[in-house]
Amino acid sequence: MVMPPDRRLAAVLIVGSGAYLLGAFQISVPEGQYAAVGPQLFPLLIGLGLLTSAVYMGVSATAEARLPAVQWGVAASSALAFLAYIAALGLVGYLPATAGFLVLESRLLGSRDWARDLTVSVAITASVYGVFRVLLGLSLPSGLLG
Amino acid sequence: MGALAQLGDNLALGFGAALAPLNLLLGLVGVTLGTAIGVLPGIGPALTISLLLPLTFGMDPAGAFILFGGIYYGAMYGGSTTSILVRMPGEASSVMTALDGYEMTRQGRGGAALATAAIGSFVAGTFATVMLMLTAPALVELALGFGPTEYFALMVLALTALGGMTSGAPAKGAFATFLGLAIGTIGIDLQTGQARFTFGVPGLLGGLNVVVVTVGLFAVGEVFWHAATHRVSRETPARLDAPVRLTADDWRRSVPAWCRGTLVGFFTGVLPGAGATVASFLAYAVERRVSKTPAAFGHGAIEGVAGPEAANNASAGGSLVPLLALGIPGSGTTAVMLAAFQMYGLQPGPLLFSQESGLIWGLIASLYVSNVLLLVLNLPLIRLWVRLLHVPRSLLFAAVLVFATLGVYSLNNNLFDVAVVYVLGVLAFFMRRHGVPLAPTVLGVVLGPLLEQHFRRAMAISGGDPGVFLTRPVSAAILALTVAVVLVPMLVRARGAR
Repeated sequence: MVMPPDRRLAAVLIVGSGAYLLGAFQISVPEGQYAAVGPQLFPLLIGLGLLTSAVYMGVSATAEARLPAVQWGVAASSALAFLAYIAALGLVGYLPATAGFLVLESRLLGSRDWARDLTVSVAITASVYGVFRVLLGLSLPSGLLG
Repeated sequence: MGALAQLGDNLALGFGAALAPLNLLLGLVGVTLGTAIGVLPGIGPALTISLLLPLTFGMDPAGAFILFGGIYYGAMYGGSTTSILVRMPGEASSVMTALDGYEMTRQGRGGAALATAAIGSFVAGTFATVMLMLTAPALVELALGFGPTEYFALMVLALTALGGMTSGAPAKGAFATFLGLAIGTIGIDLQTGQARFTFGVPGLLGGLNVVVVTVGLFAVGEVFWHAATHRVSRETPARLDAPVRLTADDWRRSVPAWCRGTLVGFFTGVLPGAGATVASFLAYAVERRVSKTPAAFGHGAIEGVAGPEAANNASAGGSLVPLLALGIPGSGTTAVMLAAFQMYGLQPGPLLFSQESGLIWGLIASLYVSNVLLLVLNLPLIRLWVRLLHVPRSLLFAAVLVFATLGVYSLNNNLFDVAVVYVLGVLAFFMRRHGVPLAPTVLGVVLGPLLEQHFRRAMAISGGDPGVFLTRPVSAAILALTVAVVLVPMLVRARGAR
């Protein structure tokens, strides 16, 4: 007997909601200050709301519900590429990191035209640089090398 | 007479701002961008406005809101094009349009379908803006007497309605709402100085920036989801052979449908939680019900395009009424717009109408201008918009990630915010996979701190008596309405099950 997906989700969310509630209990309430409601009550109410809706989700889960098909490999690799991009921004700075990431990510997302991907990636990198730096005067990550 | 003269003054002020060259240009950029994202499936107004938030940080607020208003209206126009020509709705609010619109294209009447959608959108958008102009100040008058109790009740209603309506499973909508409220509690409590859920991380002390949250959930989450579910970007050839115009018979059938769709759409838009998608579904149902030939629906009935397309545009105008007059958004896009107001340190509501009347009336006037621009841009350029579908989706989504990253980085020049965006993007991916709606979470994050503030103020005034929410008539009535929003669908479901 396989557990319905919504019930599995509810189990995870109940644990998460419990952790939030625990965190809410640990908020220290300053003594001696006059306030009808301190910093703790609202998070406690939210925690109860999270827990109640998660429990209700588990109770009302039906066995027929199916999750949409996901290509985990593509999802994980594109998420990892994005993570690497954020790290690369800090290391090598905007220009090389962005041009490289655009080529990599568009291929991970299914593009198969090298010439087009390279051209468009460089064009996007240059135009974003133009908009952010030149037009709006915003700063872009320069990295350790920059 | 006094009220009319006042309205005239306000409009003159508004058009003065909206027609200033820079703002006119921003309006044009907004409607063009809005139409483009409306055409492109997967990229909607909430995502686009959230991506632009960091970029508009240094701009004059009036110009930024004119840009956002143009995007919002433009997306409603653009969404219909692909529905009609290739049965691929650019937005959820154009799903109903595909039913009869695509059939009309197959019968060689795609031009008429596009024309009725564009003219209907113009009629509805203009009417909704007139209604916005007339009803928002009236609501402001009413809201002047509101205190923290009433605002608390209104926010509870907005959160409940959106949470209850955007998902098939009420428990998921409720969880999404509480999740947003929980994210909103991160950071230092401003009243007592206590840190909450910061885990000793200095970057969390100021709380999560609403811009960071909206970009993470809407933009990055959308790309991750797209990556996981669409391996090969489908590039559907779209063809339009028929001329874009209406015959006398098309006019005769379209005009009443536009009027009905406009009314349905506007009032649905004003209600929290309902929004453009519900409005278009309702309008389609109304058209089918009043039709003498309901069997023709789904087989190319022009009313099935005219009604829903008018409705989704009118609902955009309607949803701005509670946002501007009360500061209460009722949909994902208006929640992002509230985040934009907060970014500028502005709180929409009665005070904003008196303190920033140039901004508010400039925005309202720009909506009239946007409508005219959209009609001019849409019909003659329809073939150009269709070509947008040839842009490879893979590059488009990769560019969204770059834009999201750099926009968020530029807010505070740190990569911590970018890391938060990443985490929220992963969270949004799993929420979508499990059918948990994102809009209530964003609304929760945006409204949460205000909700708590009003709650604590009301409790302080009442000396800690929670009965105050029920003894003040307006807040009691709003809370009763909130209970009805929860109970009525449950009762309907229970009766249906029997």
